[in-house]
Amino acid sequence: MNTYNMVKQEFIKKWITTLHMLDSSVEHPLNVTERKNAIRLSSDIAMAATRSGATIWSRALISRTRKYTTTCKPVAHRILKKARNRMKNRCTTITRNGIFGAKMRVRKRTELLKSLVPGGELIYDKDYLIRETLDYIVYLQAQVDVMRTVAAIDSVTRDLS
Amino acid sequence: MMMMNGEATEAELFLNCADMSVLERQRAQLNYHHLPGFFSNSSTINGGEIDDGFLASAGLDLPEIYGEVHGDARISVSPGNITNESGNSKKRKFGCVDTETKVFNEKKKMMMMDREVEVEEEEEKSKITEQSTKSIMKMKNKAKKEQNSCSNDSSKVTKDSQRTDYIHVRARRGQATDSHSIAERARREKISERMKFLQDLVPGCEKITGKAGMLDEIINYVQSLQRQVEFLSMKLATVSPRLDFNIDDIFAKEVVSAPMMNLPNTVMPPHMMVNSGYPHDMVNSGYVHFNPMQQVVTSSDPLACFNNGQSATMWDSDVQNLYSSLGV
Repeated sequence: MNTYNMVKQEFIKKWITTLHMLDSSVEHPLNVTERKNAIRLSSDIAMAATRSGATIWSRALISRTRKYTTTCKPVAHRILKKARNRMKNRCTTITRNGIFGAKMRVRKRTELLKSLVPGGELIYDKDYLIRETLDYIVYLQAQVDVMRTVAAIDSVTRDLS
Repeated sequence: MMMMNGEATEAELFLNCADMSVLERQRAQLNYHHLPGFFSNSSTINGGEIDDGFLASAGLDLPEIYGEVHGDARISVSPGNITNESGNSKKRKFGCVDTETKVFNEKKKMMMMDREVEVEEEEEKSKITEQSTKSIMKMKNKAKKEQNSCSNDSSKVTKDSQRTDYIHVRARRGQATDSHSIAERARREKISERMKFLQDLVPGCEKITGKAGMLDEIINYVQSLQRQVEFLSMKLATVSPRLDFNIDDIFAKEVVSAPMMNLPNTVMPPHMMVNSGYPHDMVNSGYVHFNPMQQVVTSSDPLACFNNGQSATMWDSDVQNLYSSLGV
């Protein structure tokens, strides 16, 4: 469980930094939707940054968010460059699925999963897709954990002050 | 224990000398039951930094998939006992990493062989053939070498140039020896490994069989997590007029070490709190009240829990404790 805590620690540090970056770069006041988008964006970037571009979903997430913000661009570039140096190309095989019955069901679900996981459309190898997804799930859990705790703590401290 | 040493020596003999009879091999294999775990918990795949290494750095139970025989390992070899030179050279001889074969495939095959060995233990011992045991030892040697050398891509490349470049895999007795079916079996083993990991990760999917069901569970879980993130970011957006939150360093630590997903239901004694990552000074200041608050928070609506005054006062005194203990 200790590595999970480390993940959460990394994540929250990066998230707070990103939030401040965003906060200083946009003009106030923002309406709720804009705020929500900013929070979601910063959280996604932080999660992907915590994974440091060692996985496909993290890099896809970063490049996906790149078009929404200009301030986070240097961060995104840095992470993608590091990822390019570090990670070899792992997903080169192409599946040979027959399309009959049960295989059809599996194939349909695989397509759906590919649409859910960032960068999933780029992965041809089904085994690798599942591996990526499991990794992504772990980090999603960390993200949800942290956000939930932050929301709770934040509301409590606001009540007190 | 003397008995242990005897068994360890036998294990060494078994590994190093290929001329043993089948009976001796079986005995040696039986003796493996008593040896400590083959795969140590500290090994990782790619060096283990949090920023590197696929899935290994996510920590959790992932090393189990790749390197360990599960909980009740029936056959295991202690790495500490088998460290002589000849053992090492024998390992390296079968080191065999195909340039196209990835690390994962190797370990999967090894896992497959291990699993098959476990199954064989349940069956009669006479079914273990000479060939299969030999191949099992090859697999173990290779896996141990991987573990010991903490393999990353560069070291793998240098080893490639020195060795034969295919993996010796022998079929079990009564199984097809077709390379295709062996590969199929390896893939199926892979899938079941993923299934196991998924069961650990996703609450409540013990009865899932088959790829479609597993994919279903994964999809549901990912969708629900993504929806939760969406909802939580909306909530945070409504709560704060600006994009910052009332979090300073103290609370950041608390956020990290609060195990929200599976909470302890009782107050943890101080030594446990230290183990689960709470900052030490906080533990020492007798700050054990924090847990009930966390427990309260994971109920369906976190906000409702803080409406009663009792929680507020508890939080208040705890905040005082925190700040005083940290010298703020």
